[in-house]
Amino acid sequence: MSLKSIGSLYPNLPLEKIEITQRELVDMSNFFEVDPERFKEYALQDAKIVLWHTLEVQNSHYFFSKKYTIPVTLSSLASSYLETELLTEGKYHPPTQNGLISMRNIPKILTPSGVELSGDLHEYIDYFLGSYHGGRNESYIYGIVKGDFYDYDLPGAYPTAMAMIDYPD
Amino acid sequence: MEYGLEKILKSYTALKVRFEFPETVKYPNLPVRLDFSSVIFPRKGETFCTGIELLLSLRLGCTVEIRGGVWIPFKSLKITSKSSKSTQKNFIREPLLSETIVDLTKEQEVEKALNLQSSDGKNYRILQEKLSVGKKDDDSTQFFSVVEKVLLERIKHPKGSYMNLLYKFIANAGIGQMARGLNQKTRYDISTNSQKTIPSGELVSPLYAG
Repeated sequence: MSLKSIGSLYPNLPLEKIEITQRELVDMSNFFEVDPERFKEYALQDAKIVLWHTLEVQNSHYFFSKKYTIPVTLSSLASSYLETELLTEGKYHPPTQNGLISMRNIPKILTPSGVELSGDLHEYIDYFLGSYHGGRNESYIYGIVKGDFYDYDLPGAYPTAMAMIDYPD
Repeated sequence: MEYGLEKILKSYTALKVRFEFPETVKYPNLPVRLDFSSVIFPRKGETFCTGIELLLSLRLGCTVEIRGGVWIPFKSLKITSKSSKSTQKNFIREPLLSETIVDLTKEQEVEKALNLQSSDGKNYRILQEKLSVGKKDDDSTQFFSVVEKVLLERIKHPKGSYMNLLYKFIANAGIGQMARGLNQKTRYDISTNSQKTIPSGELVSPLYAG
């Protein structure tokens, strides 16, 4: 996410990134020499955006996960909240086998003890592991494209899929 | 036992298959691994796939030979046949799906099986519609209430704002968490200046991830 985009997340605050020319952008030393006041204004505004956003992220991390630290990414903050929400509210019970083997310990299943203690799990887990290929990401056109092309997006695809997942019986 | 549409769509199904798409199919949908980092989508090959992927391949006219697999129903799946669910939780050792190919390829049957039709029977009922009505189905799934809560919070904040974006990330994070750590991938760890294996989280499950 660019600093300009981050600034635009706070439309009610004076955090709009200051625009400079392409020439100034590629030669900051010259920009400083030629117009030190504008350079200072530009640099300070960038710092303000970073500071404000950092504090917002820290606050929201506390709000969502009761941790007063800065998460490395927003996604990790999101994951941390979701994990807390699902596990502490008792809405989710991580699958286990005989209370001994959890999905977090998949490598343990393929051990002498694991095979014996995991019930049927060791017999079918490889089918599910093999079926997980991640998302398909492919470009059907290469190079410069002339004419119209379309980009299709599925709004809310992940949460919709997640809402349809049910407990295995 | 026959594995019809509803039984495939409302289950965790994973199969090992040999397949061949007709030459007319430009973009086959079954992934095949070449090595640890490359996946291709060939016209012909052998692979592991989910039941949903199998449905799409059959609708594209693919010929499939099932080498093995497993079927685990959703808790919400209401089975009407004589045998109980527990006895049906077996390995698929015969090409049971070949008998249901006709049903599996009908789009209206897919809609019916997923209960996706709206009250007028024409349009897909989407999550937002459910939210606007503020009513859940009796058979709503375990994650529905969490997704609902997050999406309702999201729309309280203006589009493009920080909180709106954050709730979007939260709504999207769940699926990623279910696959986290499965591939034993590594990432750079700034505190030790080294590559570390991404650990699994509490929500990880290969059943959900696929």
